[in-house]
Amino acid sequence: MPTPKLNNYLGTFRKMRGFSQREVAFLLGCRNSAKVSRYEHDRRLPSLETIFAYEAILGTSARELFGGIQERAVRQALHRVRLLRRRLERQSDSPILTRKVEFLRSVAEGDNDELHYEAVPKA
Amino acid sequence: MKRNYGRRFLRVLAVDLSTRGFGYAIFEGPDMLVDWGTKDIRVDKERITLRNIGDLLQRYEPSVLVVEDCAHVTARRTARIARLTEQMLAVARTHGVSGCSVPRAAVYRHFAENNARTKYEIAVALANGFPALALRLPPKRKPWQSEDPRTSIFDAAAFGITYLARRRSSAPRPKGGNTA
Repeated sequence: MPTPKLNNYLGTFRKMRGFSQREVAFLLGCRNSAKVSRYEHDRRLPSLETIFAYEAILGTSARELFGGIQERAVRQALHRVRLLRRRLERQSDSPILTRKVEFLRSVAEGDNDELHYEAVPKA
Repeated sequence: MKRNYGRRFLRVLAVDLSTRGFGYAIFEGPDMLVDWGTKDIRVDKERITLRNIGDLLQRYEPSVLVVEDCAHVTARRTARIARLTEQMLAVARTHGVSGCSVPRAAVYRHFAENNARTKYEIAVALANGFPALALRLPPKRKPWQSEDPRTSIFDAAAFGITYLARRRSSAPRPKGGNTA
């Protein structure tokens, strides 16, 4: 049976790089490893600043470090993209509206070059 | 970067029990090792082991718990380990996780294809496949030495990899696929 991604892979990438929690705490500028443990066990969400620090320390993108959260956020955002597109399509036609709908369609289908996303496989 | 949230995999928790605790490895598919480690347990071994396994099941929510098949004819595990393995599978069921027993003979058969025939050679093969594990690779055991506790991690990883390989080979081929 397939499984959704974990919320974060901070522990995985830390261990891959061979760091201890105490060393990561030092690199993040924390006083001790308790906070690092809470981040890894998903008992506390790091601040945006800490996320960027994690990216730099572990040499991995936030997208990979927070796989489950990213997956969920994208899924929910895309759901709202489809809703807004449908709503806009029902409104009267205008050049700006057409442009917005086209953009939303490309986002939903995953072929927007600006976003560098690949298409979501259909279930 | 690619949007890949449609990708799905099987998360597997593989556990190898030893006389003083256990080693574990968690895979997401055959290429991604999520977590690994050992737990050293010296008192109240059964209860603490089951509690730790419960914690791992709760934290990682695996699809399958892979353990050694202690009932297999080639198995050489003590009655305590065999009993504890059964209890572990029962704990997994209470978490809604299916259990799978892999005989050690199947592990040796699987790794023999890569010319890894001993425990140490299997550990080296795993360390080559997963560089993160190389940091935990113990030195080769001398005949007068007892087994390094870190070996449990490699045994657990070997069970996990063998399970995933067997599952892949027994998976039905997609219809209309490549027939060349």
